[in-house]
Amino acid sequence: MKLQEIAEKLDLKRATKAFDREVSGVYISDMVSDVIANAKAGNLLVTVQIHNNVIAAANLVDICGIVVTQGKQPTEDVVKMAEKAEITIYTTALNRWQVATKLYEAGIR
Amino acid sequence: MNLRELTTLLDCQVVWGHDLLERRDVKACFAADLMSDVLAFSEPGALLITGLVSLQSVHAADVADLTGILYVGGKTPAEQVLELARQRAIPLLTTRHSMFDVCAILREAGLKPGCKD
Amino acid sequence: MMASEPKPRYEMVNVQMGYVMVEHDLFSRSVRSYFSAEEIPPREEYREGNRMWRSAVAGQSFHFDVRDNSTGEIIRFPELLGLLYYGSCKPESDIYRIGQIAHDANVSIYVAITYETGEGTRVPLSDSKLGILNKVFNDRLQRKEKKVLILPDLFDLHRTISYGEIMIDVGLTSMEEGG
Repeated sequence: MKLQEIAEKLDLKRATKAFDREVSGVYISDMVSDVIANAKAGNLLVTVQIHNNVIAAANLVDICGIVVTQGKQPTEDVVKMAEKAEITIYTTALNRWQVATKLYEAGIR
Repeated sequence: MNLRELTTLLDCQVVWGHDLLERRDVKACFAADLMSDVLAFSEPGALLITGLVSLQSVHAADVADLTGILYVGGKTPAEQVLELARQRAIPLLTTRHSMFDVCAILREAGLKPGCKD
Repeated sequence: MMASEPKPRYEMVNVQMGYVMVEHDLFSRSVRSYFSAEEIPPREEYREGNRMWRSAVAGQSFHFDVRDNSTGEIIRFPELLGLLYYGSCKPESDIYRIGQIAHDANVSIYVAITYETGEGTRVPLSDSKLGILNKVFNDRLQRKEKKVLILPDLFDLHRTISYGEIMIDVGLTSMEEGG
């Protein structure tokens, strides 16, 4: 499934330019080290932490997009960095559990 | 569902709390790695799903009155964490499944989000 | 839950979570750092010859080994503190300018930062191990046109950066809200 399609299904708000890609799976974590160690290329990252190092880590392991939960917003710096790395950031008021279950209902495995 | 049933469902290892599993009912879950989030948003009685295997996870679960902790991604807590969990009577489980897979499986089993609005 | 893919030559294994510890000598002001996999990070002060070390946690991070799947050999990386993304550096720095040029060629520049020895130097990381590190991360990429290039710290960045700029987890276990 494509990123854009998922965003529509979950009613996510886009915080960067759109870089549509195929989503290979979902990885939920707030730990930069966990993402570097365990996330897979093409994964959609679900996190409540959004700062420069999250983008640096997401870029390192080729994360396709990021969903920031609980209404947190990326700063302008983070948006610029993400756009440069061609990673789309979405925001939502939902929490991780809600996002995870909606992604599952949308058919992501 | 009680924690014993959840253990079977998610193929968990029980780190501590065998005797408590049948008595602990799980209706809701809270998934987080940031302990400040656990304190701020989790609902009492929820199961904490986290990748952070530290003492703070037990402290946070204790303060927020959560029913147990499930560590994801095959991470196992150290002896000191187990000791604190024993003192606070908080069952600790581990599973090889990722946080996303755990959420998906528990959602399928009918569990609800354990968060305050 | 994807179908299994062919194994890459090099693979990250034995991932161990822990703390990046920084110790200051109260007398000479020298600094050393190391990785601790202890559950409770050591915090006490202790004397060592004419030095008095005081330790503090800089952040949470992880250590890993790399397995060469063609030989089964395990290569350890105890010297690696973390990676620094060029985009996290100051825009006027050399590394940032190089990073920008590389970026336009679809290459993402990272710098490998190693631990401090306490003698004002850093633990060396050999070029051959750096080569393996580059393979590990490039083998994981999905986009064919994208490359990751991990460089040694030729820029002496370790003199000016703070631990918060390296990709480690700072403040994760803070129990204060908003932490």
